Amino acid sequence: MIKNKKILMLILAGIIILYYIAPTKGLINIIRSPIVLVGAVSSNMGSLVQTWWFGISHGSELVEKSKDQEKRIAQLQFYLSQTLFSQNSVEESSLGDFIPLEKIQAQVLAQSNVAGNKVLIINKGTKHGIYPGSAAATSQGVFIGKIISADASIASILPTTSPSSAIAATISGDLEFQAVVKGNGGLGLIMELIPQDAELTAGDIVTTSILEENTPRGLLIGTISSVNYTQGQLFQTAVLTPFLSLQNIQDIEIFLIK
Amino acid sequence: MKLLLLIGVFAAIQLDYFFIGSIAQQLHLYTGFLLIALLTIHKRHSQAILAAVLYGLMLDLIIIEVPFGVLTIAHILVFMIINSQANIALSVSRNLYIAVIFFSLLAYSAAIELIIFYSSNFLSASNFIFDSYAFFESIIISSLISTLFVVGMGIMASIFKSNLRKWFFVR
Repeated sequence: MIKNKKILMLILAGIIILYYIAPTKGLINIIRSPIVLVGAVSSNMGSLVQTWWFGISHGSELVEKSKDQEKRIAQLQFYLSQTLFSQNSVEESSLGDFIPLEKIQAQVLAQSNVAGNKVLIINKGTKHGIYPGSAAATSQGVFIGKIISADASIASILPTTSPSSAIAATISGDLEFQAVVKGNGGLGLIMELIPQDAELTAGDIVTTSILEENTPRGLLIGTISSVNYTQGQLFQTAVLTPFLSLQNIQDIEIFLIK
Repeated sequence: MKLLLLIGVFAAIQLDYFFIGSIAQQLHLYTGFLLIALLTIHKRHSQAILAAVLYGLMLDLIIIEVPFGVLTIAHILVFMIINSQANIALSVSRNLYIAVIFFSLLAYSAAIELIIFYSSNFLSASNFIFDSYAFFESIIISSLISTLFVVGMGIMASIFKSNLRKWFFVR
């Protein structure tokens, strides 16, 4: 028994040392693949359970919400066309050199929790050119989050709604305005460091700022639901409604760092 | 038996990390820990240590924010701690047994969450923010749910056992 334990420990120590000193990444990927592939199915089942539970507990609200969503989609399509037009104008100018425009398609394999944060696991990694800091968005231009770690064939994204996420943001169409959007415990988004004199109203569209590293400006983050200001404070805060529900994300785009 | 153990650990990873992970942000289920603990308490030491190593290795493979090896070593330590304290679980009454499970889950979840947080922040490039309120809320709720899970499984197992003859016409 003791001899077996010692042998097991030695094998284990060997595996861990080999992982760091020898090119064993290929072998690790082979072992990882079945875990992640079955994990994708488990994750989808979890999402289904959550959707089912949400349907039961919020059924009556959903009808009203879908009507609101239809109006918002129409509004968004208008804003998106404007934003893309304005982005193209910036690309043509000298600022275009700083914007990482090359992007690759990826798929969300699974969702999980790491250190109290929701993370999305995707099927692309460093061998596809993805490194920590790359931005992720949907093909409709909705910002999802940033890559926090990447291995050869998988990477993980920290979504904007996670408590550890902080993104430089602006109001669509206002180049002067700058603030920071943080995750609100996975429930929504909070915009902080809004200057006192900034005039914001509910419904304003918040997008990524040019100040956010490795991220194209103009990606949609959310709409302002309410603005809060306490007398005597230097900054205002705002509560945002994200454009994205993490439950249904599958196909995404990753902007490669130049 | 070893294949069964591998399947058990694989299922525990799927349930703990992927299934529950996609349902809620701060909710965890610790079936992997429960498997290691039950095997250790019932004196199946070689299977328990193998389960600890496999569970730790699988977590190391999928939680890429944490440097490889950290969670495997952590789970071997978990096995060693349970092994040294296994007599407590065996000497208590049935009601206290549930309390022992709950408090061990609480200790395990606090330790493992802190290990993941500190190793991903200081040994890796991640920048997670520590929210003490969310941390305590998460470990208490997760430990409670994991305890309810094991109690539920226990009840189901006893119902199944007592009705086995009736359902399957076993004489």
